[in-house]
Amino acid sequence: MTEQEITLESIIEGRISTYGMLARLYRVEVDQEFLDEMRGMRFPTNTGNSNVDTGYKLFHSYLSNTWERTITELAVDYARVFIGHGMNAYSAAYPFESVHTSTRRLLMQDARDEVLAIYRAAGIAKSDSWKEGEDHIALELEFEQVLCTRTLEALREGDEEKAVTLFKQQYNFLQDHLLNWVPMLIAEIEKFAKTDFYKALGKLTIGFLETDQEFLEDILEDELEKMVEAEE
Amino acid sequence: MKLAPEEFELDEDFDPLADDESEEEEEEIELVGFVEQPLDQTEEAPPEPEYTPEEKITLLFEKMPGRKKVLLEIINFCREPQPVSAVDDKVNVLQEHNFSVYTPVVLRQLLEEAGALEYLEVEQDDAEEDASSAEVEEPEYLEVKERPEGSWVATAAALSIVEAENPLQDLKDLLERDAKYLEIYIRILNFCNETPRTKKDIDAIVDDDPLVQEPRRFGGYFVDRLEKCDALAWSEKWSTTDVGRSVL
Repeated sequence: MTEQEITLESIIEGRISTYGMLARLYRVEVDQEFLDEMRGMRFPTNTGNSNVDTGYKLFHSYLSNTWERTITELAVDYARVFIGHGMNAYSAAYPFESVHTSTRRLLMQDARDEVLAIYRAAGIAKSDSWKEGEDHIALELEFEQVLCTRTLEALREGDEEKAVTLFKQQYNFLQDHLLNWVPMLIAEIEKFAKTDFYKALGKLTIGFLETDQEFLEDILEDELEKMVEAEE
Repeated sequence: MKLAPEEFELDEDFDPLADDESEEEEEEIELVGFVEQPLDQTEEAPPEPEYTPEEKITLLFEKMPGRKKVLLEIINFCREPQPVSAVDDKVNVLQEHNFSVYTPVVLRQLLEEAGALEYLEVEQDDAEEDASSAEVEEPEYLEVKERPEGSWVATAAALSIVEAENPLQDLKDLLERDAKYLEIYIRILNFCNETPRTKKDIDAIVDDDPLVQEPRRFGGYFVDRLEKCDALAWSEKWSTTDVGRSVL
């Protein structure tokens, strides 16, 4: 195994972890176990992306000042940010792609149908315990995590062609879905979040997706050039 | 009502599968609760009133009359800075015979929000300060470190309210206000001074007295008022306090 492959593998492992952490933070409120896990993390200070750096600093600052009611405080902020009071479609940063890409900010619109088709094509179905739409950000991030995991397995098996195909899937999903609506979600998180914790989540999410886009464009440089030539 | 066969006519032109023109008309759906533009709530929200620290603390006591004594005791305990764990232990003792849904953490938080308590961080050593100020380079990674336990101290506003409390005067005001029942109050204070008593014991010496038949009063009425003046205290049974003894 070459040094380049080791580095690529470790990068993908890092992406798997980050996608997983972000998905967990959007899926449900933080519990004591996850809070303790985050307090044990090391937060890089200079990743090259200002949003990521800001996100990590805010996380570190908040987690350095936890107290007995932190879990309650975070649960309240989670409800404030993502659930709201439900009076209208502007009461919270609703974490569903349909809300941000449909004219009337409704749930279960075309975006949900599209991602559902993509999941099924990839042989993935939502868990029975998940009662929300499939275009929830937690699921979209988990989907990227699954693709990253499959890519890592393909590389370890020496199947480069499969790995490239999976990289392309990740890139396409990132372009066509996540980066199409997450910036709007993040702007709303900034508006509603009272704790630095959820403000940090917003910054880290958009920063990480930006760096992931750069990474995939770098990996798929040749493939993307071929696509552009084909279109011309 | 059944139609006779000769009354029933079939419309031979009717095609059940044909498009119904009326269905093609766009139905106007009345949207309930949906607003095209986001509501600008900040324009309608009235400004929050501003209170002085003393007013905030007084309001807290008014909102929590059942916890007032405990809150005053916490403030009194924190005249000098007290470690967090010591404050929590004190609250647990205060609430040992006085069940509350409020944990020590919540009571501390309420007092802090009202400006009655202040949290003091542990002071850094001079050596550590010099070291931290000398660091120029940002570390590669940030790690969360355990903070040393700080302490809580009562604010000047809170202490002024504690000093202003005068349970003995409150008791004298009660006995003057309720002069009709002076004999009952003194009887209860003497009774609970001999030995701690249950509520049943107190009811037994009060409920049948002619003085409490019209309007009808029971032992609990007098116990409640004496407790609020700190004349009686509950610790599995009712006992007369120093404040209560001072009027005997």
